Amino acid sequence: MDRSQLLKGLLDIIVLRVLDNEDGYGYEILHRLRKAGFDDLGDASVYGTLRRLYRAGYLSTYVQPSESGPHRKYYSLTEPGRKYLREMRDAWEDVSAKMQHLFDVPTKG
Amino acid sequence: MTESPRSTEIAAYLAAVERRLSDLPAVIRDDLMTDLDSHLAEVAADLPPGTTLVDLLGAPEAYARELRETAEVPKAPAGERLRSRFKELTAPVAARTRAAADRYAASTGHADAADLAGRLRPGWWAVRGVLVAALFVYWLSAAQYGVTGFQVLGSLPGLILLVAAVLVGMWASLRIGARSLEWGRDRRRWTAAAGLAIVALSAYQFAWFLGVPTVEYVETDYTGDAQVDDVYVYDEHGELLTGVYLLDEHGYPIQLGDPWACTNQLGEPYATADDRYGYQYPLCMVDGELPMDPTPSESPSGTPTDFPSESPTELATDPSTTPEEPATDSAAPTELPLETTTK
Repeated sequence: MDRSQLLKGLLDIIVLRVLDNEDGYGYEILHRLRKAGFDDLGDASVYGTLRRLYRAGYLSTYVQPSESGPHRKYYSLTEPGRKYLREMRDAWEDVSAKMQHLFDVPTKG
Repeated sequence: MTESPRSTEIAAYLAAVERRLSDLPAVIRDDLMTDLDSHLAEVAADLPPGTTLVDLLGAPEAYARELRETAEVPKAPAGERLRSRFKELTAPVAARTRAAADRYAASTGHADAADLAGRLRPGWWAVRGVLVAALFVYWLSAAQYGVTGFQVLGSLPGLILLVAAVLVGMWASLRIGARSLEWGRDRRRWTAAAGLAIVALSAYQFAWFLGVPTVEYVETDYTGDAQVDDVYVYDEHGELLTGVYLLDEHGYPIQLGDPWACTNQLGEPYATADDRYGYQYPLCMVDGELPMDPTPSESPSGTPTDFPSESPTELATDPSTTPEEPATDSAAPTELPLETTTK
């Protein structure tokens, strides 16, 4: 099953969480997500999410030269970004707990 | 990667993506596009030789679709896009107008234009109500004018009615205004449109009150040169013809001018009206003053002596011809005067 639709609503929280520990640049963030098992996320989705979060003020950027190739634009969480992540996390845990409870009820038949 | 094949590949990919984002609001599109080239360069830097951007990222169409979805701006319908384009175009003018309005409001001691508008609003409601009341009383008086023989305007009951109507109108309008603050945008727009219509209607109805001449006062029929008091008929030699009757093509008299405009001492008009031929022109005695200089003028017809009496179109009348002559021939369509000038 294609999980990209399911993940769409969670893109914000996923990207923010990945950047919470360590700043990262576009393509590297995608690698981190792949490593975390989110194989269904496309580069465009991640990039679009990064730009949207940046416009919303949840992320800030800075440019760093790299040894190999072009300069890289690093994204890091801002204070509103951290706050937003906390709220999203609370919301997720609430929904997740309810989902868990929902599935824990044994089905009849 | 700075090698040329890679950069052209990136440029082509970028162009393809941008084409499919052309309907996005400029702010979002520019934000996405300005960084996308460096992002794609990062991606391309990691590409193993022999693979393309499309291999890694998929077709530009799909990439653009994904971008659009995550940028959270659904493709707007055509009308919406047109409106936003228009808004974008007029934005500088609108901003300048708003700034000017704010400055004006600030100079009057208010915070900004919105503050001033908010304070003026009840005044506008009152004016709106007064206008409706004035229109009501005006129309009421106009409707019964000449019917009941009572003049509403200028009478005491009329004054009382006017005051009562104004009070009721203002009360209703203020009430509607206070309620309208809680209304939705559409309903408020309709209310505003109705208000403007009231103002326009009042301006039209009460323009006379402000001294603005209205169309009703421009009576072209009875002013200036349009009025015919008398008719002077000349022959082709420029000689004034007297005792002339004017008849139309059916033999009916053409009665122009006003025989009472020139009366003798007895108060009788000079013109002798005949039942069959109408007035005899000129109506008034001519004493020296003629509308046309009696010098021989250009003959309208090449042969002045030619009198085609059977001609239905134009009949040159000799000064010596008796006025009875055309009357005897009244069955034939005739047009007696050659030249007529009006005074």
